Amino acid sequence: MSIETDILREQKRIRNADFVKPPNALKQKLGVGGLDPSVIEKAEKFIAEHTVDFGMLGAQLVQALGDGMSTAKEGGLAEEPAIEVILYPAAQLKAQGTMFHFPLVTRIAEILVSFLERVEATNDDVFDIVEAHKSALTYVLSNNLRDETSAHGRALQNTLQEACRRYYRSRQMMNEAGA
Amino acid sequence: MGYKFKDITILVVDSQPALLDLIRGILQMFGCKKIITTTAQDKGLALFHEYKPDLLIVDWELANSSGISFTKVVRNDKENPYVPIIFMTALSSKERVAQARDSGINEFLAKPFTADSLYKRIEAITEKPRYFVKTGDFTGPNRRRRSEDNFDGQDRRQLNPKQPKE
Repeated sequence: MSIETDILREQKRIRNADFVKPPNALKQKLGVGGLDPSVIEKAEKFIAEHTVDFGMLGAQLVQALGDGMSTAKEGGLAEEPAIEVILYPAAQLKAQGTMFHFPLVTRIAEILVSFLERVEATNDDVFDIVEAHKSALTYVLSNNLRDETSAHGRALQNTLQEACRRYYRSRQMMNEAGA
Repeated sequence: MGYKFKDITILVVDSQPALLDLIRGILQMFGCKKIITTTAQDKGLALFHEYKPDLLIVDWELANSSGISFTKVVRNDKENPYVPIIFMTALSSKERVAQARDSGINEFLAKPFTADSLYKRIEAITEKPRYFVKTGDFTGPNRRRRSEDNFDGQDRRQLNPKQPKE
C-alpha cells in the first residue's frame, strides 16, 4: 500500500511541470538590431587567418586516439566506455580540423565518429577500422594534406567509407544468420 | 543601433585551449570585452558563481568531466539556473543530441562551426527565448516552441486533448 502510494506520488512529481518565464537578461544587455553583417565577416576572417600549429596538435590527438584504442583493447571497460575512449579524440579531430585549416582531417574524423556512434561494441573488426582511420590521419598530418576535395583526399575518404560499409554489411549478415 | 556585446560576460568551457583562444577571438570580434575561459568543470563552476555570466558556451568534453554534468549542475543552481547555455560538440548521433538537450541546454552548436553559426545561436537565444520547464529532475528550456505562442501556462495537449478511441 505504502509502496504504491510512493510510486504514485513520484509519478505525479515527475508529471507535474512548472513553467517559468525567466527574465531575458541577455536581450536587456545586448539591445536590439542584431550584429552588422560586416562584423560577422570580420569574425570569419579572423578564423581564416588564425594560425595554430595544428600539425603538432593534430598529432597529439591522433596519439590520444591510439591510446584510447589501447585502453579499449586491454579490456576491463564496459561496452559504451570502451567506445567513448576512442570516440572523444576522434570528435576532437573532427571539431578542430576545419577550424584550424585542415578540412581533410575533419572529413576523415567525421567518418570515424559516425562509425563509432553506430557500433554497439568494440571487437577486432572495429579496431581494424579505427586503425585504418588513425593511419590515414597520421599520413594526412605528416604530409600536410588539407584539401578534402583533392583526388587524394577523396580517395582516402572513399576507402574509409567503404571499409565502414563492409563492416555494416557483415554485421547485418551475421544478425540475419543469427535470427 | 545593433547588439552591444561590450556589456555582457560570457563563460566558455572547452577541454581544448587552442579552441578556447579561437572562440575568445571570435567573441572579441563581436565586441565582447568580458570573456572568461577554462578547460575544467570545477573551475568553470567556480567562475560561474564568481562572475555570474550572461551566457555560457560549453563543450561536451571537459577535462575529467562532461558538459552534460556541468549543465545539470548549473540548471540546479539556486541563484542563476536560467542562464542561457550553448552546447558545442562534434558528436552528431540522434541519441547524443537528445542527451545534450535533456541536460537542459538552450542551443546546440555542431563543431566545427563558423562565426556566423555561433552568432545565430546567440541571436536565437536573445530573440526567441523559451519558457523553462521544471519537472521531476529536469530543469531546462521548453522544447515545444509552438506551444509558446500566446503562452498562458497551459500545455497545448491540455488545450486540445485527444479523445481516446472507443
